[in-house]
Amino acid sequence: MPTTEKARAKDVIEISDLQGGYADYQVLYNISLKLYEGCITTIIGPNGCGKSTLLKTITRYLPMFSGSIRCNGQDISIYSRKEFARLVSILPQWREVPSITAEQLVFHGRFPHLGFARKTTERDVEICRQAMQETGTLDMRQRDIRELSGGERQRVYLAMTLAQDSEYILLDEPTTYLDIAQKYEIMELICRICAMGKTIIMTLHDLPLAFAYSDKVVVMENGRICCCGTAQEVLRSGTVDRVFSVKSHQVNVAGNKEYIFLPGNSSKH
Amino acid sequence: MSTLPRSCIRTHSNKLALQFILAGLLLISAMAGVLFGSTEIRIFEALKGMLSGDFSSAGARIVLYVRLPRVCATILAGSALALSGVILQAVLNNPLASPNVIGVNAGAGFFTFLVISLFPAAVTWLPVAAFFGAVAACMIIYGIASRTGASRVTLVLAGIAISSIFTAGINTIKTFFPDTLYNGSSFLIGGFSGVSFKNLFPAYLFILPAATASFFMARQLDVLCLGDETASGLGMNVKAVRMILIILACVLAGAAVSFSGLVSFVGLIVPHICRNIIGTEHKFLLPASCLSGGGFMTVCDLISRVLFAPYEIPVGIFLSLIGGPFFICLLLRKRGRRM
Repeated sequence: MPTTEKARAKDVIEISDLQGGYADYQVLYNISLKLYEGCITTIIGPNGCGKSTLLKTITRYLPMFSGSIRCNGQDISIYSRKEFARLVSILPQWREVPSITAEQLVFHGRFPHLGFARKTTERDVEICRQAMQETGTLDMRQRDIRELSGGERQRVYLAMTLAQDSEYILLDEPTTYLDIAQKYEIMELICRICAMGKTIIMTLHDLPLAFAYSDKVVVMENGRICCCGTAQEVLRSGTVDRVFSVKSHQVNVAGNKEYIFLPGNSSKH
Repeated sequence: MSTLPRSCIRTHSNKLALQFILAGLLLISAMAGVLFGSTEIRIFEALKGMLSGDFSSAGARIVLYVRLPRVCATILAGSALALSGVILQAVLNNPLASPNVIGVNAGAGFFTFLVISLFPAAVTWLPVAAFFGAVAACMIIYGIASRTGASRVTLVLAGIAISSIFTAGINTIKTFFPDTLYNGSSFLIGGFSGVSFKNLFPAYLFILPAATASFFMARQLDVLCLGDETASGLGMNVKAVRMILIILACVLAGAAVSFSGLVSFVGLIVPHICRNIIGTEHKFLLPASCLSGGGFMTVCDLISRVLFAPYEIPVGIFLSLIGGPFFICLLLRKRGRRM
């Protein structure tokens, strides 16, 4: 759960003056951002604001035009592909779903750790088993991932990401297509993963979830960061209300702070 | 909680056993291919004679110069095309991809035709020509795919267009050089009636290393099937790996086309059938496709030789007649699920 002390932890990923995007058009403008160790940082913003592009640039899937991204004090371009994959993992929003068992998928998470012979060792097996246990997917290890429900499949993919055993875990829209129970289940799982000492950076569309579970919220609009801070700080700034055209409210439900977002411009409310 | 490794081992041993069964079937079909044929020969006497150093009997000569090269050719072509199909389906993330559907066969065929008609003596260079034809077709497809971020359907449509362009080229050559053609029409249908060890040998030099290399890429193929972004996130150099694999698939398909002609369909159906039986894990799928592709081709070629002997039916007809219905059955059984 979010605490202000955690948000003061040491910064481990430092993005400065980043310009990036696709070959023929720029998506990201002047992105400067510090991400903190052991925190859940959530990037929110309307569709097309560049959230996913930013994640893809951090994971080196897309090249940066200028600026720098430093990870643990070193520029990310100096890492080899495998070294980098052992440091940073990504769970993309769009992916192919081949017809393989859950277990096989999780084992693919060990890919950056395998040597030239690509043989899995006892240790690899143990790490995969732990990852499946932590995500509650051991029971479905022999099932085809195409036959799993959305929530189950997402948990298996998270197990693969865990098996990658990286310090930083980037998640692009981990709750897409999930029903509300599955969404909470995935978010609780992400919190548990964070509590294991991982640093989580994700994008989310669901504002209440983003504000309830994040140590730090980053608001993006048109390829720029327009606000960044703890949930409280971001809400107080009014940026969310402006960017999403909503009115945010904070309510107390059984002692917990909950956030609701109502249409801002509608006269009905 | 030590069940995880054990369950791996169990399914793995099943899949391993299947490889041996497939290898056995391949061996049986190869032996049948040598023993049976359109001409009745006293095979055992011939073999006995050969063991004692007498290669002059008619039977021995038929076995040595007709049947053995032919069986080698069918195994080689069947395995190479099936392997190429497995690789292309994974690389292009497209279940419809296969060397003939995306135009690789036609490209290889066109270049082979071009070299045959311009330099009839250059038999040794046919696999090289076929390889460049296959690469040309594949690069066009890959270029279209990476420029447009093409969907699966666009890729196949582009492949059909490329295929028809190269086929038009083949027909043009046929029209302008009708005399210089060596068995031109049988090349188009595909078949093994003209093979000898001499024109098979260069293809071996291409196919064996390419097939070996592809077995070492099994894990990369698995990871590539997770999609570009996931594969890249797992630390794979997606572009380089994909390029290497495309080149391997082109070498395999191109070399096979250079001596067998445009036999198609094996590259599409054998990988699918094997995937259905053995799953998507490439360290099993690659050898299984290789073995069953070779076996299937050998059996079809044998049937085409003996069924209406002394007339020979082009092997492509049996490939389609046997493979087609089997494939449709699989599709019906998998109804409602994606291949």
